Amino acid sequence: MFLTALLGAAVLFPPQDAAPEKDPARALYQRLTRRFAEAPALHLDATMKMSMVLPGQEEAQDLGSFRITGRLAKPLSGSMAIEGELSFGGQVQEIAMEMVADGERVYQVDHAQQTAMSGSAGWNDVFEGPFGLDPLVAWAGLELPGFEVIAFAAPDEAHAGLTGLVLETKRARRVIWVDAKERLKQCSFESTAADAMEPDTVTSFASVELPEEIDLLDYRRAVPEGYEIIDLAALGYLEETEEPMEEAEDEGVPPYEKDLLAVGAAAPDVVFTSMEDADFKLSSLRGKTVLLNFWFYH
Amino acid sequence: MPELQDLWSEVSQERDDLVFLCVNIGDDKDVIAKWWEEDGFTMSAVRQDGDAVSQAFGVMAYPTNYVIGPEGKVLYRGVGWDAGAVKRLVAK
Repeated sequence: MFLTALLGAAVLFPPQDAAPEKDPARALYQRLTRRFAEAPALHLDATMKMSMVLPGQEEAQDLGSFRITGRLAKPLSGSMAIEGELSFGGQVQEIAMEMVADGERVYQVDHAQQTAMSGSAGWNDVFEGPFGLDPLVAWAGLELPGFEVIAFAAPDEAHAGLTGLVLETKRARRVIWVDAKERLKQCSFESTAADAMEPDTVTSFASVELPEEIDLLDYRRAVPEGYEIIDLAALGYLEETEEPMEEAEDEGVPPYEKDLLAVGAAAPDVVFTSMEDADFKLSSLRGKTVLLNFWFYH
Repeated sequence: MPELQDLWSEVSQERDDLVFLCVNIGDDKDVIAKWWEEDGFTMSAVRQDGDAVSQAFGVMAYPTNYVIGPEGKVLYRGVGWDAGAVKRLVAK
C-alpha cells in the first residue's frame, strides 16, 4: 500500500530537478515561442482589455480596450493598427493609430494627428509592454522575460478544451491559453507589485496566423495619401535597452517613467506660453511652489 | 483635470505662494480655452513650444505631475494622479 502510494506520487509529480525541456509545461511554452520566432509573417487580430488599480484607489478600474490588427512580414514590412479608447487618471484618451513598417525603418502613421504620447502607444511598448509574450514579441525576435515559474494552469469553465500555461516573474503573472493545435486564444497579464503602474490586461485573439510562405512585395504597401509620417527613432521609441528585460523589471521603473527627473533634481528653466500668448520662464516663479500637470485633450 | 481643479480651489484659498500650471501638449489654443470656459477652471493652462517642456521633464505618459519647490527643485513627480501625494505637498 505504501509502495503503491509512493509509485503513484512519483508518476504524478515529476522530480523537482528535472531538466527544463523535460518539463511538459516548459516544453509547450518553448514550442510555442519557437513557432512564432520562426514564422516569416504574422497576421494578428486581437482585442486587449485593460484595467488598473490607480493610486489612491482600492479597486481595479476598467481603462478601456484596444483592437490591434497587424499584418507584418520579415524583414519588417507591413502594417499594424491600434484603435481604442483609454481612460487614464480621469482623462479619456482616444488612440487611433497605424504603424507601417518598411524594411529597417518603422513609421508611425497617424491620420488624426493624435500623436499618441501615452505609455502604451509606442512601438516598443507594443512589443514589450503588457502585450507580452504574445505573438508579437516572440515573432519580432525580442528577448522574452525570463519567467521564473512556468506551469500548467488549472482548467476552468471559461477555457474548456484549452491548455493554460502560467508564467510568473517576481512582479508579474501571465496566463496564456492555447487550443489543441497550439494556437493562442487568450493571454492575461497582471502585475503583482501593488504599486506597479502597469495595467492588468486580457488579450483575446480573434485570429493569429503564421503563414508559411509570403510575398514580401505584398506587404510593402504605399503610405496612404494625407497621412503624417513620423520617424519613431527620432522620438526615441526605438532605443534598444541594453539590459535584459528581467533586470529592467527588477528596477521597477516602467519605460514611460525612466526619463522623469529625480526628486531633488533642479528643474530645467523651461519656457511656457500663457493663454494670453505671453512667454514666461519657470524661474520667474522662484519662491513659489509650482505644480506642473502635463496633459492633452485631443 | 476636474480633480486637479478641485484641489486648486481648495488650496489656493489658503496659500498665495502656489501656482498650478496645466502644461498642454499638442492641442489648439481654442480647444484649451473652450474646455477651461465650459468647466470653469481657475487654474492656469499654459502651452509649450512643440514638446520642449515635456522633453525637458522626461514626460512620456499623460497625465504626469511634478511639484517644484520654491528653490526650483523637484519635490515630487509621478505618472497618473496620486491625489494624496500631491495634496501633502501643496496644502499648508
